[in-house]
Amino acid sequence: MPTTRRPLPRLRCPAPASGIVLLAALCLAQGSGPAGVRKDAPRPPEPAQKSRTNRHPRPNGWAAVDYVRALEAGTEQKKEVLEPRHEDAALRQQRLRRLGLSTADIEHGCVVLASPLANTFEDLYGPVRFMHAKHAASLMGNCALCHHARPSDPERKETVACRTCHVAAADPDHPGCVSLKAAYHLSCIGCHQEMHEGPTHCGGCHRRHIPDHQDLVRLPPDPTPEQVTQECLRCHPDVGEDVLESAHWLWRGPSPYTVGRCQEVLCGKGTNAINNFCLGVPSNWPRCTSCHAGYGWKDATFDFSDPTRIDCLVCHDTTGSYFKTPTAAGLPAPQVDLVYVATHVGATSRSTCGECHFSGGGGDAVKHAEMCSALRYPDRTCDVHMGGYDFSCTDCHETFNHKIHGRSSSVPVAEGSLLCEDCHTSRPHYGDTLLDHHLNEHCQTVACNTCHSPLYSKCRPTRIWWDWSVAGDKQRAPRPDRLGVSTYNWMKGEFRWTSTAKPEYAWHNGYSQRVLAGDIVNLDGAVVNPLWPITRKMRGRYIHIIEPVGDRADPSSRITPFKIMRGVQPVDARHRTLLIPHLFPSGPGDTTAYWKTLDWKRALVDGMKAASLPYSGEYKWVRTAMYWRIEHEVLPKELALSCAHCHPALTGPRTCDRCHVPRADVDFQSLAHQGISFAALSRQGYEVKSLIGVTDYLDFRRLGYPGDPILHGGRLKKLPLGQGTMARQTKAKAPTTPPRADNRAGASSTSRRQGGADLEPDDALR
Amino acid sequence: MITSRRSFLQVATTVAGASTLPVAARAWESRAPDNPFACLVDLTRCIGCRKCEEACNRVNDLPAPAQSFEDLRTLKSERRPTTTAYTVINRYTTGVLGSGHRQQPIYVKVQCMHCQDPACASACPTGAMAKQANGAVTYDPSQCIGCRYCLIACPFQIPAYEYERALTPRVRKCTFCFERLEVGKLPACAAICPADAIVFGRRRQLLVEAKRRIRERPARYVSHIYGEHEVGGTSWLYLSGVPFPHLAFPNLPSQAIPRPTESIQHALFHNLWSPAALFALLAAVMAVTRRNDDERPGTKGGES
Amino acid sequence: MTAEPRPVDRCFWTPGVWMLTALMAAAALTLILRFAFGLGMVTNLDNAHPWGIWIGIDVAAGVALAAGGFTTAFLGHILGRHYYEPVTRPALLTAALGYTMVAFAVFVDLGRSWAIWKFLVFQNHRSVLFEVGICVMTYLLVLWIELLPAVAARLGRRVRLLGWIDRGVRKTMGAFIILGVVLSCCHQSSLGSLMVIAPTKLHPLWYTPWLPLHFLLSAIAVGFPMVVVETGLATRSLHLDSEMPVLVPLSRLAAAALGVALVVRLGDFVARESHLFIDGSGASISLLVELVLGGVLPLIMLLIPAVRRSRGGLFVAAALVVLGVLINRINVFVVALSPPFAEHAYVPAAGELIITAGSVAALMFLYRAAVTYLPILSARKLEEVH
Repeated sequence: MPTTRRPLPRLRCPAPASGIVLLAALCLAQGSGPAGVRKDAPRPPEPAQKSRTNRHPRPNGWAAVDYVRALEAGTEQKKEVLEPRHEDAALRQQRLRRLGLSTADIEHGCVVLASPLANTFEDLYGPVRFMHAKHAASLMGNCALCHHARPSDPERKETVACRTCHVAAADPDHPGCVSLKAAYHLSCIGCHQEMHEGPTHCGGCHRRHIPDHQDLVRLPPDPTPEQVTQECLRCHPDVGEDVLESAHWLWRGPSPYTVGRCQEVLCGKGTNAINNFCLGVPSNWPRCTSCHAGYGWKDATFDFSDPTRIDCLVCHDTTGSYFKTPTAAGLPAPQVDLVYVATHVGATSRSTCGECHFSGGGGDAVKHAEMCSALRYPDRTCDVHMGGYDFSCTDCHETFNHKIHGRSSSVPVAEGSLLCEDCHTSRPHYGDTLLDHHLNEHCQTVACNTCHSPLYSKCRPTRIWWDWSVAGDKQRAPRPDRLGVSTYNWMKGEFRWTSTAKPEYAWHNGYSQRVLAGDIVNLDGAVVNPLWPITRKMRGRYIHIIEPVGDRADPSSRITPFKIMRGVQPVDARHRTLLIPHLFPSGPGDTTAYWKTLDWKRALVDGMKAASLPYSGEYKWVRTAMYWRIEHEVLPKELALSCAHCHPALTGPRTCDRCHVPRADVDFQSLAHQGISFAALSRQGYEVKSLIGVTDYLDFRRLGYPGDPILHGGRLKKLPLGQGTMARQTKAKAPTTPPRADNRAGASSTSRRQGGADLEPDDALR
Repeated sequence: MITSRRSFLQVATTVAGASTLPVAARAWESRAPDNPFACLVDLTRCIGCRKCEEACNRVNDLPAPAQSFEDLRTLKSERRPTTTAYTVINRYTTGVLGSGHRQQPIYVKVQCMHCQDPACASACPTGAMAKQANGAVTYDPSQCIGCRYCLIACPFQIPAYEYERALTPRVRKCTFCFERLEVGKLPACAAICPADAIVFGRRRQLLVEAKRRIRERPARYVSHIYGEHEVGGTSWLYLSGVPFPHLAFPNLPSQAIPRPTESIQHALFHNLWSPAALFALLAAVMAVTRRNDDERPGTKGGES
Repeated sequence: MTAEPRPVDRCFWTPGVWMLTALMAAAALTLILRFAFGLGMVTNLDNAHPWGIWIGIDVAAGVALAAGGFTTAFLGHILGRHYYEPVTRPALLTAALGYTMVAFAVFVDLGRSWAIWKFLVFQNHRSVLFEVGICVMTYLLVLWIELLPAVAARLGRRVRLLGWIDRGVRKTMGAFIILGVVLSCCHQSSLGSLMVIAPTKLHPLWYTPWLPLHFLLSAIAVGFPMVVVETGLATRSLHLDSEMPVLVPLSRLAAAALGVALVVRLGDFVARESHLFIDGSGASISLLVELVLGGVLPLIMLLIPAVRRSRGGLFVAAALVVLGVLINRINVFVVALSPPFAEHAYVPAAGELIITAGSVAALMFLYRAAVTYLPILSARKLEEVH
């Protein structure tokens, strides 16, 4: 390896798209055009030319359409009401109900409350996204609770926006009426307190505008990264202490949702998490920790108590010009203008979070199926929150003291939980129609993403197979597949990719079963020979590194969509523990790194030594699988799965009229079929031809149902009038359900009974 | 001898008489501006967000606090305005139960009350403290000599002094955002208040508004506008749901604080009449004794 | 009997004087700290207690205890009781030095000492403190003018200018003496008005709008006892004749003045029912000490002729009156101040004590220097008597 830079393109970005990004980055590093990329030219140690280029500029014409519409709804001029007519709250409610006002009358389900009248002091906070329909539904359609008065003018609407009456912002001579700002705060906070529901702190609704730091930051020219951090800590010492305790800094922490380890605090990527992508961090620090929110974690001696090692900028950059050298243990690239970045710090964004999370596994969308660089500026059909409403990651992943809410599929650490229901309530279909009622009932059995994220990796291909056993063949050409992504890399082995794929479904109650480094696994039927053809390698039992906990009989379990990552990786033949190889050469004197020597034996010995785990010296190759929950890439509501997609019983002539008396004003047929159209998607160029006309989308039999629950009954309730067989079966089967205590070695055997997971992944693999 | 003793007694009675005068004198007149700017703080609306503190900090260019304004742990201890925080929010629980049988916190904003007849301005020997026509009680460091008599005089214990500065210590207190008022803006705290707990206006109108609120919602408020009569009236007025003494509001008389001293001073030193009279009296006595001396040289006093 | 005032021909650098010098040096060091790092460095003052012992002792008590100057001047020069003249000049010296120390204490206590001139420019006529300041400043000037003859007698020939001024002033000395008495009456009483501005913060044991009258009367009452104490100390220290023939008649006047002051004070005290606040707290003990030990007890002693005639008895009685007024001033300015939101009580810091002690030491040092080199004292040396 003549220079440390040369292997980068192949190491980091197998996908051409990311290859281009990296090429561009390399060009920037060279300070010249593509001509500067010369393989054997020794790089003189001249100071890199500083670059302030935004690496991820906002595309021309990109706009979050739903947000714009909600903003217009919240700011359009209204005719001021000068004389409101007051009414007793209780009587008004009765009257409005008699008038038939309901959630169906709500014009804009989401409104951005951005009236300039409410912004009375220096633009300290951003406007609020107000979910009008949700609030109306939560209040059982009691409009009078907020719309407490009406205009005297009988011509005007019964309910008008707050800002039509609450106008004056504290007029010195007429201090009577409450200002708009106070009207909002008093009623919102008052109600939230009374109901013990909803946020009552500023950050709960608003995003705070970060003050301009240009005059605040004092740095010498060309500072070191640590100097920048010290400067940050000068004013924010508490923040430093907070970060030192955070999962983003420690890469370990409490694992409350990992069964058998709920009380532990030391699990995590930095210690014992293992996966079937790059396998493990120990011994490969400089490469892996380029995504660590710190500087210089290059070996096990890294000082986690030193706040000056925190990398504030990677999360708080607003310029888009900050990035880390991929192999330098988290240090920023030399061409980053640190003073420029430090003077332009601000809130985190999709772009800063994505800097690491979009490229997990070594490239764009490789690891997380539903997180890719397209989410920086996505279409609303890519993700409705981020593309439609311009959500930042922290809008949902609420953050307190630098502890970021959200569970992760891949790592055991969680600093607080996060559910769609936190915002959308447990009855998130806010209308009061027949369909809304049934959908809300579904929420007890089906996770939101099941219907609302029916496809994953819509925007970039994601990796679903990684066979390490065939790595090391430098002669084999990295042939791209039909998605345009490489299927082989001599350093890593063989890959398979997918895009716009149908998830696999399993019962999940929020907890996960994990295999961590040092855990003994059951090798029966999982061992593969590296020389086998890929189809034979894929067929057979998998060791589940991560699998969801859940059961049809468990009321807290719901049908949940997953991407399942499968692969072949080394295991200790005698100790039966998954192995961590030493892959990345730490320096020129390194003689054991696999990517230098292509010798698994030495690489595994050193890797396990770095992980402080015993290694017998003998290894085998085994199939492994990981469940990755689909959380993002939420489609707009009109593109959710239709009833008929899942229920074959509704595809025939009889739909809702199986139970309901037909009504003239409701078309049952279209109701059962309204939702995503794979045919339309296919016409737009998405690879979903195979899904056109598909029914039983979730595969009820795999989930443990005898068939469509419409015909056979649900899992917990009997159908009325004695229909269905499900309830009886559940009762009969219950005692035979095996105990799930042996969660390590017996993990794969239990999951076999669950169905789904161990079956051949044909439909996912293309 | 007898003459002398009589003179002495005369002097004594004159002085005593002079001192009696102030109480008899009713010459004192309030200098309060007619209908100044004022703020009405409705404690039943305050949500304790500390945004007023933050805005105050910002417009006055005060140093950043040790704990951020978002950090409501600061409310655990009762605080007073300091040289770096002209206003503070304190939290009190008075035993009133809110929803869920939890103690309902009541938040109290503390800052300069901008008295109609401020004791500090009366006390200040150089007039560095002054009540402005718009209602603000302002401080001019260029006139200050650092005697801290204003701190003694203030019945609300508001002014804070920069004891740690060697040569140019200043008195620090709420300015009523005087400069902002001059350009037609609201005081920063009133501008930022998210709940209209601070309403800015003219004092008379605000009193009308306060009385309206008490009248319309008698269950919500105690029937007392703090600052309407206290120390002769203040520009900052408070409404509360619990009696003010429970919230550490000092119990103050309705008489303007400077009134007694100013009456005394006025009565005694108006056109310097009393010193002049005393001077004349003593001169007369001296003249008499001198003449006696000349007539009877060798006169001796004492009891021997 | 008495002779003309003359310098006392005694060794100056006695061990006591060395001790005073040491105290002054310590105070000088503290002063450097105060001016380099601010009041917060050497004092325990805070926003609740903006005034400490520098105002209570150095200024308020200092002014009160310098009352000997104007009371003897009134007696000796205005009423023409030349019999008392031997004590007027030392009393005048005490007053001049005392007021100088007061001015110095104010200078140290002011946050912006360098801006002290501003109160002459920006005058707030409603302010009591302004009036006190103007009076004290003018009176200080008058005092030094009154003392001029003594200085000129010694240095007039060497310093021509001094001689001229002395001759010029001599003709109008009567006016200056009267002015001194008037100014004293004004500011002695106004010093009491100072705290009337804080009716809600002053402890009800002391608060009364009649504070100015009490201050004036107590100042007059302490004038003669202060002369007795000062003469007693000086004659004892310098081994001079006791001057009892002058002091004994003075003590009768002192008893009268003290009686008047006490009666007015107690009358007011009872009339406004302040006695209801005597509850065993520190403040009420302090008040009882002030009233009984420093008021009633010495009054009784002074009413006994035997006590008046005995040198020791008279000295003790006078010292008790002085102590009483001292405690009264400390009480009114420091103890009585009950701020509504004090986090902790005020206890003077070491720096404050050192500077106060240093000022008193400087006062005594200068007094001794003055009587050693200037014609102040008239008492004969003991060896001349015997």
